[in-house]
Amino acid sequence: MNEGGLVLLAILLTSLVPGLVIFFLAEASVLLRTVINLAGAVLKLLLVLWTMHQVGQGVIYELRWPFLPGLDLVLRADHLAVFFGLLSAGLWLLTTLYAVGYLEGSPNRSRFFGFFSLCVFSTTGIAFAGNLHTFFIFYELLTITTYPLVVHRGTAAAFQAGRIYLAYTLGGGAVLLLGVVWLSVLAGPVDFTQVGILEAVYTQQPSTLVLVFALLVAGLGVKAALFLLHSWLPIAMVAPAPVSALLHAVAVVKAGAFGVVRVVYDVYGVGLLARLELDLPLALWAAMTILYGSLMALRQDDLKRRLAYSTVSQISYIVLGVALLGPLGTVGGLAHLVHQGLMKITMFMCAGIFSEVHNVKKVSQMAGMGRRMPWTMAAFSLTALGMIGLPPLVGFYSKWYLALGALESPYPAFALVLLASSLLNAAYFLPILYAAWFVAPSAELPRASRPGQETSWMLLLPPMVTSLLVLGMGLLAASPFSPLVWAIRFAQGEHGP
Amino acid sequence: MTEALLLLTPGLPLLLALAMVFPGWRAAVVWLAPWAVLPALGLLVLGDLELKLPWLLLGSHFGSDALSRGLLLLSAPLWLLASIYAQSYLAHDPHKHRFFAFFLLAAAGNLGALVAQDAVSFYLFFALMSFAAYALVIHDGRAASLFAGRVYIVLVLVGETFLLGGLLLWASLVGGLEMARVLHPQDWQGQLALVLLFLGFGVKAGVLGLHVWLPLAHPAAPTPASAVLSGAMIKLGVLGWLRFLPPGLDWGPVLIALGLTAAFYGVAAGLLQHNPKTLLAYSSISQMGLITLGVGLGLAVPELWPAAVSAVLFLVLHHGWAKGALFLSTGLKPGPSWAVKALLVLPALSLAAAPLTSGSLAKTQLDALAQTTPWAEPLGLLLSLSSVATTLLMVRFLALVWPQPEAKSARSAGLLVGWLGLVSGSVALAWWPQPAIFLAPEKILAAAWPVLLGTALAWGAYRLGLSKALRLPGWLAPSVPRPGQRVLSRLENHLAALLKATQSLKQTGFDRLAKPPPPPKILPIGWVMVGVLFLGLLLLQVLVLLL
Repeated sequence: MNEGGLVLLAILLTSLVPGLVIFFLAEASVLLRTVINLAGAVLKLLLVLWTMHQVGQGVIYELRWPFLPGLDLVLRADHLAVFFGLLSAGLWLLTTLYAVGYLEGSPNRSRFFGFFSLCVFSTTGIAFAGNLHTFFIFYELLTITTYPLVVHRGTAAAFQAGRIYLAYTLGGGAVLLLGVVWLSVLAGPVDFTQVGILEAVYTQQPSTLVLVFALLVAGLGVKAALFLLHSWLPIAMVAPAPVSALLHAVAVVKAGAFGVVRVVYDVYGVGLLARLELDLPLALWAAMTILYGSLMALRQDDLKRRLAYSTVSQISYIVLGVALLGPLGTVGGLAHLVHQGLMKITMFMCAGIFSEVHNVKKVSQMAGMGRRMPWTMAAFSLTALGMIGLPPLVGFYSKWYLALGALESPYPAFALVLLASSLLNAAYFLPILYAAWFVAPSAELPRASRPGQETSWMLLLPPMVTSLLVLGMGLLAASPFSPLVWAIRFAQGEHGP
Repeated sequence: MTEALLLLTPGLPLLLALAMVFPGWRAAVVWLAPWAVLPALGLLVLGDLELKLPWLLLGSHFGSDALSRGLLLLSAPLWLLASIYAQSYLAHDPHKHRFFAFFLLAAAGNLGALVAQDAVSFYLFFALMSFAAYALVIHDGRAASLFAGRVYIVLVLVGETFLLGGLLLWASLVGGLEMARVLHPQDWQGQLALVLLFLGFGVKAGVLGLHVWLPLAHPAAPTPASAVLSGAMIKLGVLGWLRFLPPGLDWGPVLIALGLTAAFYGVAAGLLQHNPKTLLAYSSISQMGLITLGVGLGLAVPELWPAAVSAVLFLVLHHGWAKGALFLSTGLKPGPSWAVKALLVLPALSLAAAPLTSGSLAKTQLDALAQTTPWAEPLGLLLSLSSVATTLLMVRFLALVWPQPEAKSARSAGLLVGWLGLVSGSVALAWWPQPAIFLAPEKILAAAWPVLLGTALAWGAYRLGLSKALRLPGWLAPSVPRPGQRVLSRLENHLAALLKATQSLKQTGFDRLAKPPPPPKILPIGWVMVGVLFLGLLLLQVLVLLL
């Protein structure tokens, strides 16, 4: 095994090993558990950063393990992989910190953190999977490891939500499996490096390829919460806040979107999809999801549900960008993969703080929140403005490149969808900001005793960091550290400069 | 090193606004607020500057050119004087710090947009200003202000959407972000880009049809905020037009018609107002109509585009200074000394384009442009008529704010400094770039008759006993009808229907915003008569022209 392969293996083990160890820890050993968790998270982040540095130098790590004859398990650190890998590693670290603070004193924490780590292990596997089979294995593993997190509270509502979650995601997984198997029968094991492999199939049975694509996207679309397949997402809101944050920003929903990205760029390829004329249906589906999610978000009074529908809408930005098949749309879609993650994780963490500290769970209870918890509310406001797409926050760049991508594509009308969606975003976020900052708080709830003391630092620090990233990565969008520039580099590799 | 001034121009107000986060610094920030514009003032005395920061945003480009400096000559001093005024005006306001935080943010946006030379930075500052100004509009928290704020924010969002759509199309067509690039429309996409940009900026500039927020927001905002809103912020819409519309675009006649209509509509609606600030807002709609007219003239005669730009720029300066002074005078409650009365009258005269004022200079330039078009004669006449109209409106305004004999002068140094500064600036503008007194005698005469006619009309209305209105106590009684309100309520209905369709109105916090005050039934008879007389005169003139 080469050095690069070892690094990739280590990246996976940094969350698998802590996860397994934590299961066997006593409930009371808080300190040890926290140290193991954070050490794993920090180590993983450093390793991913190192891998990213190597990719920047043109070195691609790969690990191949013959699993069955003719079926290799492959881990591979290409541009896309480190892009998604860094997002999950970085946000895992912050969410772990947040979860430690959030669950302080609550029961079953060893179980929670064990599955939490396994969930990130699966997500990392999805990021670094080098072929469709490996991707599928980790994708299913993710479904199974997140279920205990969704039902963690153990209430009747939680189990009900868990059942619905499982029904949707396992169903989606089955459809995806059918697609993957069918594709292997047609073309053998589909490595993400062999984009041209389907060309031969195309000349013989193009309509089968369309069908297989539909299966793959429908399977992935369940997790990506595409229209008609999205219903599990708002219901899964019963999960504790750190789970929701991770689910919406990196793990489950993103895994679906990332899968679509892989299928489009590394399985079918842009050229083949255009010839099969699959771009327009996919883009239409995404556009419909964008508008539907925004309209539904407008109707929710429950803050987490409003955020959930907002996720439904925002994830499809990624799908739309990819479906437009042009370089600018690619940039917008991929950049949004990271941008949406940063913004949504901040909002969920803030929503968690509101509900933990003041038991505020509804939009209609937000009056005066700015005065009660100025720092939390500032982080929330910054990201809400980013979601609306105001410069210099990261959301603006997603929207800018996506709309430019639409304008350069044969279907410029999709730019209108993005504009309409920003207006709707404003319609469901601005009233929250107005109530929080300009309406006097109702008397019964206390104000923060001292600035910065509104809640424990472990809860406050992670959203502060991510909201500062939302601002900083937007201000420095053209600098080499920004996800936007990475997305541009990937698009240049994919489409030519 | 002087290039750093370009960054500090928006940067210093921004830093001061951010310093408001720390409670210990707040008093100091309020004290320093007027001086946040110092870097902008520095740009005025320097030549062309350029600063490119490729790592910022999508590659930022700041620069000060003739257009930037022209507008800075208005914006920088106006923000400074308004801040000084605000320090006194809000001295005992419980939300003083919040006001100054947003005041500084709006200043940062306004000044930053003047020196931005790439589309993304420009959009950023434009949006910053628009959103920050919302907090100024709703500052006092009264029901009417909240309603005004709601209308304002909806129109801001509509404008931002037009603008973003326009900028996206523009950027994809010119293939870059540098605002120096010019889009000459080849097909419908180019036309659409420019229409969207025109409308996006038009919301800010209060172009007819998109003006509904002005008469609501101006009286709602605290007086110094109204002054910068009308004096400086709405001018950013004009800057956008000048920067993005290509000379030779064939929209000249449309803009001319739109501008003229607004010029007279603003006066007609303004005459019916009882709140002096609402009246001034309508006057701004009217004056922005003249500015639209100027842009239209420039487009109609492409070879005169540079002359049109400088005429429009002067009109902007003239209006900004005079309107700023007029707005600040509404918050003074001055005593009845003759000096105060004279100082009240001066900017009003200037706005009415009386001889020897900056207004007459501006009108002369506009008229010279109009004379090169095929519609020279009617345009010249209509311009004079608009001066008649504005004179009427200004007489009405003065009657509303005229010092009462028994009034106690509430002198506060800050209020006086701000106000006197703007009045003297407005007067001084008549001596720059070409002293108004050196205009040819026939031009001075040409400027004189509309003002005399307007005054005579107002006097006639008074003599005919049409109005007890000219005596103050009589017409403070009925409350304010808002002709804009009908347009507004339709817009509101659409919005409410949309929101209701999604059932969210109840939960969003919007429901806490009060309903608009009901439109009163009584119209002040006297001023209706003045309006009728005026319209009759207008009709007569048109008939004469046609025959």
